[in-house]
Amino acid sequence: MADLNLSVDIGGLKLHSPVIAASGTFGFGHEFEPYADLNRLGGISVKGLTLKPRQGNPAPRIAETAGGILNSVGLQNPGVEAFIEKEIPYLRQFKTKIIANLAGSCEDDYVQAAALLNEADVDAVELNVSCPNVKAGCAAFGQDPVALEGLVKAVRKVLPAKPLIIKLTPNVTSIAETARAAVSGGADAVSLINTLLGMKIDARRMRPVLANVTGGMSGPCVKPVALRMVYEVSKAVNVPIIGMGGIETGEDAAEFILAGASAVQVGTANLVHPNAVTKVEDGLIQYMQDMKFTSIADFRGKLQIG
Amino acid sequence: MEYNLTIVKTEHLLPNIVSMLLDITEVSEEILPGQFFQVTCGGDTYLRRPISVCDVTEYEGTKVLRLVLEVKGKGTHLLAEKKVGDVLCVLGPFGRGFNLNDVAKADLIGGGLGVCPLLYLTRALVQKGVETCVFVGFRNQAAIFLTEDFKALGAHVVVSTDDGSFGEAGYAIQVYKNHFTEKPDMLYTCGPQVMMNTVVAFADEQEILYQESREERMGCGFGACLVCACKMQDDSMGHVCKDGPVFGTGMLSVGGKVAHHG
Repeated sequence: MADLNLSVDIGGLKLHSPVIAASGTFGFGHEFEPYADLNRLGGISVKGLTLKPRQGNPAPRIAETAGGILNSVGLQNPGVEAFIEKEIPYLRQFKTKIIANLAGSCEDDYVQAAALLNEADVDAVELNVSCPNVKAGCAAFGQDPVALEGLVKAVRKVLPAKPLIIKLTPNVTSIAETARAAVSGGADAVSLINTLLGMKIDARRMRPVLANVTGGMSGPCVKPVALRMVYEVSKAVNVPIIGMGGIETGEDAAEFILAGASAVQVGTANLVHPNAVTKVEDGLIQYMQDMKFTSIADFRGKLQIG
Repeated sequence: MEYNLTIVKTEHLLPNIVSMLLDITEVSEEILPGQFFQVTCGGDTYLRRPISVCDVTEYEGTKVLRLVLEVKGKGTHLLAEKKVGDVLCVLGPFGRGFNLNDVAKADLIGGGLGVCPLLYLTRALVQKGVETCVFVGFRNQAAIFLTEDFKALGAHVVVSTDDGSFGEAGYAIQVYKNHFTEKPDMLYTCGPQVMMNTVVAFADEQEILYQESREERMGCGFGACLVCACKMQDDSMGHVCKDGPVFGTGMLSVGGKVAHHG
């Protein structure tokens, strides 16, 4: 059997495995150490960071739906400076890449925080322009190609030293268009999809289940939408794509790679199976062995149509 | 950690309250009073359900975990249908449980389903030789369960109902106040938040240390999803699953939660 090469290059971010833990589902890694060997992960996209600490939205912040969940956590995080000081030293113990997921409510917040991250010991920045749970900014940037291109340019200027990934929202008419805008702005890669805006209603109480009324839907129920969007984006841009949305198995990951992704993120599954990232990597290796692939490039975007 | 536990006994304590015993021979981790497990319910549920440890005991020579749950939503309905021999996939034990240190005299106040975690606490206290008095309150006679189990542990047990249909009449806190003569070293409480708020207010007023076991909607149960946020005394954000579910005197900021919408 030929040696498997799982390594991928995401716009200058070199990963030894294409399996990444998705932001907002993996904290800063601590909680998963008892369940998963963090060294096996290609990278960890940390909990979404903002310039200043945020306390997040009122409870209830979660609701279950068929095949997934809705959340309205609202970017609760300790702020980018506390992350740099307290979490990077912890994460650096492991042979995994640190991807700083960065959100903001105005361009200035993004730029100031990105400038701090440019000097920090992180391996890449994933710009979150797609969180549906915060009132100002964020998803608004991700939904307007012109605003997005402007934001990416501004961040790029203060972040010359790190690979810049733009995390796209599915809550748009054409994700190909926002992907193109991100690339025009200077993105090295794009990741998709963030959560789909949804809601759950308790008919007996005649109230929304989430205190925030709406929330972001994720889990296996969004996978078909995510696959379609990765496929569309792969036809629209030439930068590497990180695919995500409901991945729970190696075969799920393979589907995203066939659709055009170079790497994948595992998100919601972590919350119910804290060793999900390991299972996905094991399953992907099994798939590659079964299919006689020796590298990710062997099947990336090789979806056969017609 | 993750365990696959076999059900060795199930029993309806009330039409809507189910007790199950799970074989924990394989579980080497210590399970503490006040902790909980995240239980996979199957069917088309996605999230696991947090269920508090009701007891750790022996059944026909086997070490067992007792979970008692109220059949309320989709997940608990599915759990209630499980049979002896079925296997439950659980994660845990999770959370900070009750602290028993430096307690020689303990009073416990439980309401409704909140009496469950107090059973294992009572067992641990009695075993330590702590003078233990348990006040358990229910809506009415038809809602009473688990009281015989408390008595079997050798604790002093006072049963009350809100409507006076059984035992002493009135809310648990009122019944407790009626009996109150001497301060305990610790006042433990678990039940509806409104009930616990009255217990906490009384404890603070009397300068008695307390520990309350809180309930909040959870996602993961182990501190990753940040769904069950609560505000700590120093205004930092804590999480019921990891920093609790048991919180002691002064640990939470007033109210303890991120402000709720109306």
